Amino acid sequence: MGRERVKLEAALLLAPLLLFIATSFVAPIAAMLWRGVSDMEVPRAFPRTLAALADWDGRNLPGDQVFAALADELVAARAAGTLNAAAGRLNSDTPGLRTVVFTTARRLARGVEGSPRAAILAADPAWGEVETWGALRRAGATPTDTHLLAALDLRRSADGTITSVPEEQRVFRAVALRTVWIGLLVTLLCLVLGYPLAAALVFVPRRLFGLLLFAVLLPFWTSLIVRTAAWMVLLAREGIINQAFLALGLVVEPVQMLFTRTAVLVAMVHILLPFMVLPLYAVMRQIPRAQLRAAASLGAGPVAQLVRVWLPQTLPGVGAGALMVFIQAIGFYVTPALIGGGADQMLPYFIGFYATQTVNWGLAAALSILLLVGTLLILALFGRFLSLAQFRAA
Amino acid sequence: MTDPLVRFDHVAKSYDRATLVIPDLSFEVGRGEFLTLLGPSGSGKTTTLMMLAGFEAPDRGRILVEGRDIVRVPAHKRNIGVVFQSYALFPHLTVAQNVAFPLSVRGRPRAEIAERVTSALAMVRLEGLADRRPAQLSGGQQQRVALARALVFQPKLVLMDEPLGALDKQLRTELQAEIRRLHRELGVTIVYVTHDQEEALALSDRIAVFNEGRIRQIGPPQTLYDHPRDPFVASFIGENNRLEGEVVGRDEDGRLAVRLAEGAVVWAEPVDVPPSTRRVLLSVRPERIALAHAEAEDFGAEALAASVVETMFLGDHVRVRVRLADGSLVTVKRPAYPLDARLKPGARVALAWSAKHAIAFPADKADSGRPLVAGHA
Ligand SMILES: Nc1ncnc2c1ncn2[C@@H]1O[C@H](COP(=O)(O)OP(=O)(O)OP(=O)(O)O)[C@@H](O)[C@H]1O
Ligand SMILES: [Mg+2]
Repeated sequence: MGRERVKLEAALLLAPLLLFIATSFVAPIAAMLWRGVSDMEVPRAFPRTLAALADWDGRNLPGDQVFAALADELVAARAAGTLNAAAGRLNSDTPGLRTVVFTTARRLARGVEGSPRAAILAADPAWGEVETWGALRRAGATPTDTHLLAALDLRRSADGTITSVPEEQRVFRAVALRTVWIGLLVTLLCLVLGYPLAAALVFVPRRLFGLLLFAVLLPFWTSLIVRTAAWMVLLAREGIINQAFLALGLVVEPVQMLFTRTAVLVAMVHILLPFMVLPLYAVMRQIPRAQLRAAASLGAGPVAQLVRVWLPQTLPGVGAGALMVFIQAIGFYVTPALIGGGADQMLPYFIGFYATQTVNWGLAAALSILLLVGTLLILALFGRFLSLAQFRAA
Repeated sequence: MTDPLVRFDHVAKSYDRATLVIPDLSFEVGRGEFLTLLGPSGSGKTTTLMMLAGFEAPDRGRILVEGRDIVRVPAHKRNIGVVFQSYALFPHLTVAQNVAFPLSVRGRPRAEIAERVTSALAMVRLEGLADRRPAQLSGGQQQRVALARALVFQPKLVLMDEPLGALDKQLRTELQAEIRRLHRELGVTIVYVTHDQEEALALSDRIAVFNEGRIRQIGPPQTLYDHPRDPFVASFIGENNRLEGEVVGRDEDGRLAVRLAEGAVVWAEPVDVPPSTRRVLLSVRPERIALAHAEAEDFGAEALAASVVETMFLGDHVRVRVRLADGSLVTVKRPAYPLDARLKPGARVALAWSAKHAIAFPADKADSGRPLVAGHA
């Protein structure tokens, strides 16, 4: 009974935080993700047509009541201004449908002669093909996989099978690969630089330790944008590094450093290095020094002590650090956007691009889902490996 | 010692270049001997052991093993087994891999390693646990693994720094017997560190009593117990009553007549008491004191009168605390009798001891052991 009360009190104390997380974090993300699997434009313009199409067999042309609903809604949507978005959405599914929709709506608006079916078929012969109706029904379906497929450079053809988009239209597979590649490179560089640094933190004398730790933590005290901007200043054509090179006579004209892959890697490694060093340091600090002594007394020289006793026990730290760095790296937006070239942009850049430039929220959301699922997958995989390694170390 | 395995030759050590934690240390360890370094916390036992193991370098002096100075030999080439208080097992390796470690860094063939690991584990009675990890073992089992690991490569010399310090009393007794057995069966030389004097008495061939970086006395347990060379050893090994007194005479065998503060005159064996000394400190073991429920005069000429302060019944014996006329307290330990019920607080009793069980030290030696400062050297 007393314990129940304690639990209740604890829950009440946490309630404001949970509420905050739910409204400011979970709900917006869920809403965003929902956009990745839903379509708003077409259902908003043609609600009755879609309802009538629900039990269409998909092989023959639909029945008269579907034509009637479409005729009404085309005219209504044209008047209400919702037609544009719907036509755009249909066009991204089947190129050319925008014209079909607009032509038909314009003709019908002038007046319908005879049956709606005849009028529509007369307005544009495309309505005589099942493909057109298929596209209409697809664009109205929720949940839909259209955006998710697009995020993987895939699409559904009229008969519903999934195929790759033509070679020249493919973008996202290359972007995804590039994202993973840059993430891996950054992680590897952070490991190569961070491992000796963390080891130094453990082994240096007390006085040096404070200085080193200060240097490691320093980047945490300035914002990410400031640090990125600092790199822009350093790497620019007229920047400090180029001027120094010129002054020293190392180069005869400024080197292009900004907007290159190297610049992106340098800045990202600089920003993410502490996330590698700190977990490593935490693990290394816990390895008792007596173990190295024990190894020495058993006949292990300095190299054997490090390789056979010390290194294996630091692996959980390597895993944790690599995970932290990699997951953050594949989500990097500002740094590549500011100091990378067009070929250095990663998934987050395209999410931003579709969300703000072309207002294709569906695709932006689908790309977000791709990134999120990828991250969770890596987390789950590494999580297994990590807990295993920790179990062994414990 | 004719052919010692280990010899410390005027070794000095400081950690901070100012304070000598070991000012000048010389001693020897015989082949196959079990030598225990015993002393209070901070007396330099671990430092001595670490210099022998090669983890600390002496500032001065030589450390010889089989006649060869090893001061410049790195730890991993000394071939000395070390057992740490914290066990220092490798958590990422199984029990078998831990024990195999010294053989595998020496590049022994696989088959030989397997065979020797098996027999080493059998030796410490851990046959069934070869595939466990250290975290899955009890403290006692972990220390057995550490023992097996330090012995499996057959070093001539094994160092143990409070190996049982982290274990409870029963396990400690059990493992003491085990270490004793291994020492006997393997004929290995062991230098053992503890600050538990009972453990030192139980295990050792010889004990070196440390205080403030110096060996106060080194010898077999019985000698240290019966013939301590100074008051520090007398009170550090076993229990001792200390009584102050004044020399009032000497007999022809050199024994001293000492007048105690409470007035009575008793006889005592002097240890390094110069003829001019007047004030001495008597050391008498509680179990050497006879106690009678009687008036002192009835008990004998040298008997002291006292009154009981408290009596503690401890199963096999009783401890009686009594107060002498001048107020000083004396502890008496003796087998339990039914009549002890009469030893109530306030009861009048008589104490006496044989002259050979009272040891007299010069009183000014009692507080020797000042901080040792380097720089005068
Ligand atoms: N690494 C070190 N740096 C500086 N001083 C040390 C170091 N190790 C030990 N000392 C000092 O040297 C002296 C002897 O220490 P040592 O560890 O040898 O004592 P010990 O007899 O083993 O004590 P304990 O029974 O507590 O283990 C102590 O005064 C201690 O403070
Ligand atoms: Mg110690």
